[in-house]
Parts: sequence; structure tokens; C-alpha cells
Amino acid sequence: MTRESPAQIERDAARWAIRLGEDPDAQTLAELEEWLAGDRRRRGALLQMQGVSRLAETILSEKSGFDEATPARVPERTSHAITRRRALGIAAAAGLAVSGIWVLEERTRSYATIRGEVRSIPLADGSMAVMNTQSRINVTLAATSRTVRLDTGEAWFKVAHDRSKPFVVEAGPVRVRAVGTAFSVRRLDEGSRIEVSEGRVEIWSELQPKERITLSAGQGAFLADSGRIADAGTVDVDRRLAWREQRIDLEGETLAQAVAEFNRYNERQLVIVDPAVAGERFHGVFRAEDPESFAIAVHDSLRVPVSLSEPAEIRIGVPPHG
Amino acid sequence: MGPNDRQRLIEWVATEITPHEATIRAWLARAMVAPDDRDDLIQEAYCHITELPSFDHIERPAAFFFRIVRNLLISQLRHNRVVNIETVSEIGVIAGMDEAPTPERIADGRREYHRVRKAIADLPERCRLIFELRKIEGLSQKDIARRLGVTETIVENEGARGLRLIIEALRQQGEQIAEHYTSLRERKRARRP
Repeated sequence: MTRESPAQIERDAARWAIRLGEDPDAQTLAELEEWLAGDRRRRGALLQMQGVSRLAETILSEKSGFDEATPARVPERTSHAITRRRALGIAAAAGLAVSGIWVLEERTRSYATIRGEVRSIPLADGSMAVMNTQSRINVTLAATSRTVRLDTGEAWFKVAHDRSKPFVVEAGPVRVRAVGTAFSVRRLDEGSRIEVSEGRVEIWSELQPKERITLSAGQGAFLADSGRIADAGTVDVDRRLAWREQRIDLEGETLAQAVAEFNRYNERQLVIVDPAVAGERFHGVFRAEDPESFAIAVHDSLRVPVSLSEPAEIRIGVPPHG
Repeated sequence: MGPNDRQRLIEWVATEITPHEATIRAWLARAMVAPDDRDDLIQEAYCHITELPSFDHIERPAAFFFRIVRNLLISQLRHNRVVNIETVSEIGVIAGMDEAPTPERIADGRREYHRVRKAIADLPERCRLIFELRKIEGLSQKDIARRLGVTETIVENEGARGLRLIIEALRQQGEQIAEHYTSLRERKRARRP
């Protein structure tokens, strides 16, 4: 007996998927059973086709709520906190009930991560945020804008393309604006560090709103809250974004820098007791949540004593005697 | 499995598995599996899904489905039905899909959903109408035929054609993704000294 081709099974399965609908009658079911008994792949192909059919039904019956090409009907605005208040005011003045859709659209959602946690957040517009350790973001998806306020920490964003709704990350006075692109923002004490993994972003500080620069894929910069730009240039973005997979990727960082990086992720802190080793440089990829292995690697490569006996900290080196 | 369970299973397949078919096909293409054998494996894998006692507990359905496909491929290779020997060396490539998804892969999940949407949006008008009527008004094949003023056979033909067009689009998308990855890898290789 020749084996039935998958294409033939597919043809029959597609017909069955259409014929069956929600509740088939007894005769149809009997014929179906007979067909299914012929080859086990038929049973699979039928489920496959029913899945495709269901998805087509669902997608085609949604009345284009997801259409990216829909142009913006509302003029661009600068702050939707104000606009929202104005909209509510107008609605109230007109004696209208405030539309539930309005409130839903403008609702801000907050997300936070604890130390050591890296979390992926799919956003309702199809974008994705990946939050690094000890970070907090507030996401507002509105009719004509998408705003993420980064209160603290670091996050990487993969922005769904939608020209009618600019995607802006606010970190203090620092602003990063993107259309369809991927980038990270890390909020530091006096400014923010931005790295771009895809596309382009425009960055500025609200304190110097006219001075804007554009960063492209593979570039990074530190933008001070004051608007001063520093350290702009090409960076190894993949390496810088290793945290998304909870890795720390060292390529010649000093021990002091590496220790600071591990300490972002772990309650158990690394402490350099001997300042003489702080400037030693390291290469390698480590698990962010495993400072012990890193300490052992330091011990092995520098031949310095490492103390793992304290639960709260790992001490590297012995204090120099006078 | 009762009719309600069957409907829930179909819903689950539609949301969790179907959008990933193009990617799974791409992996199979990269593993040098011939086009017919890809369809075979996917049909077999869906058959395994119908045999599951329950599916609610499955945490990452797409990865789970992929694992089934991969295991089937491996056992077929052992039995030598899929002949191409190069496949063995490529298995490492597809093995990666088991791992926890990286942010790019999750972001790709969104892209996949978008791709399948496109495949569906591109259907001819009458096919689209049939699916809309099925969902929005819950019409049977007979009712749809009456509504459109055509025979039931035409509804069945057009609907089935629509489904096969979507699968064909997913197949082509799979090829494109596979080519894209191959060219990326070649570029990477070329950059190396």
C-alpha cells in the first residue's frame, strides 16, 4: 500500500474542518470516524486545520482593532496627564458620562522587579519590555502616544512599529523616543545610559529640549539629566544586554566594576577587601545570580584568598597590613 | 474527550500553536528535512496533541509542540525514513528551541502572531466572509450557503481553499525565515577571520 501524501491528507482535513463547525450531526461524525481511522496523521491534520480555522475566524471577526496603519485622529500632544484632565473636564462640562474606553486607554500600569529578578513584560501594543534587577516602570498606552516612565533601574524595550504613536521612555528629565526599534535605558544617579540594539532612537533631556541627538543600532551614550552627553559611541550591545539572560559578560572590566555589577543582582554582596586587586581586569561570562562561582574564578586566576564563610558577603583578598 | 473539550483544544491550538507553525517549519527546513517530510512531521505532532490526556498544564505550548516535532524527527532518523544524513549534524541547531526563550524569541512570538494575521488578512474576499460568518454569527455550513446564495459544496470548497492558502502562506514564511537565518549565519561566518 502506498503511503498517502501529506498534501492529500491536508486537502481532506481542510474540508472536514469546514464541514464540522461547532456541532456536527451523527451521520457526519460517523463518516468522520471512518476517515480518521485510515491514517493517524489524518487526526493530526484535522486538529491543525481546525486550529487554523479558529484563528482565522477570531482574527477576521475582530473589527480591525489592531490595524497598525490606522492614522492618528487626535493631534499630537505633549503631556497626556494634562490632556486627560482636559478631556475629563470637557466631558464633565458637557454633562457626559466619561467613556470607559478613555479611562482604560489612558490607565497607567506599574511593574517592578526585586533584586536579582529579570522579568519580561509583553505590552498591549505588541511591544515588549524586559526589566533588569531592582527596576520600576510605569506604562501608559494612549491613543496617540506610548509612554514608559523608568523610575529606577534598567529596562530593554522592543517597540512594535506604529508611526502614529511615538514610544517615549522617560527617565527623570531624560527622554528616549523610538518608533519601531529596540533599546535599553538604565537610570543612574545623574543621568541615564542608553544602548540601541535595533533601529534608531532620539534622545534629549527635558532640561535642554532643543539639544537632541540620534543613536543608531550598535551605539550607546550616557545622557546627563542636565542634557550633557558623554560616552557616546559604538558599543557591543549584545554584551551590554547580557543581563536579559541573567548573564554578566566581562570583557576586560576591572574587578571593582565586575563586583559592582554582581552586587546589583544579589543580596549576598561581593566585597573587595584588598584594594590592590581592584584594578585587575577580567574576561568571561558568568551567571549573574552566582557570585560564588565568580569569586572562585577570581581566586583561581589571581591567587587571592576568598572567604565564602559569611552568608551576607563574600570577601575577596585580605586587608593589607600597614 | 467531549465536544466541549474538543472546542477548548481547538481554541488552545489556535492561540498557542498555529501562530508558531512558520517558525517550526523554518527549523525543520534548516534541519534539511524535505518539504513533504516537514508536513508529515507536523501532522504527526498534531496527532500527538490529540492524544494528550490534558493540555492545561503545559506551560510553553509552542516549545512543547516543537519538542514533539523534534523527538519525532530524531526517532525517524533512527529508523532512517528521513534519509538526509546532514540532518544529524543540524539537530543541534533546532535543539535550541527547548531552552528558555530569550527576549528576542519572545519578541519574535509577537512577530509570529503578526505573520499569521497577515496570512489570514490576505485571503480572498469570499473565503474571509465564510470565516467571519462562522464566528460572528455562528452559522453552519448550510446557513452560510443560504446566506451567500451558493451551494454547500461551494462553501466547503472555498472554506477549505482558504485554510490551505493560510497553511501555504505559513509554509512560505517558514522558508523565508529559514533563508534569513542561513544568510545571517553565513554573514557571521564570513566576518570571522
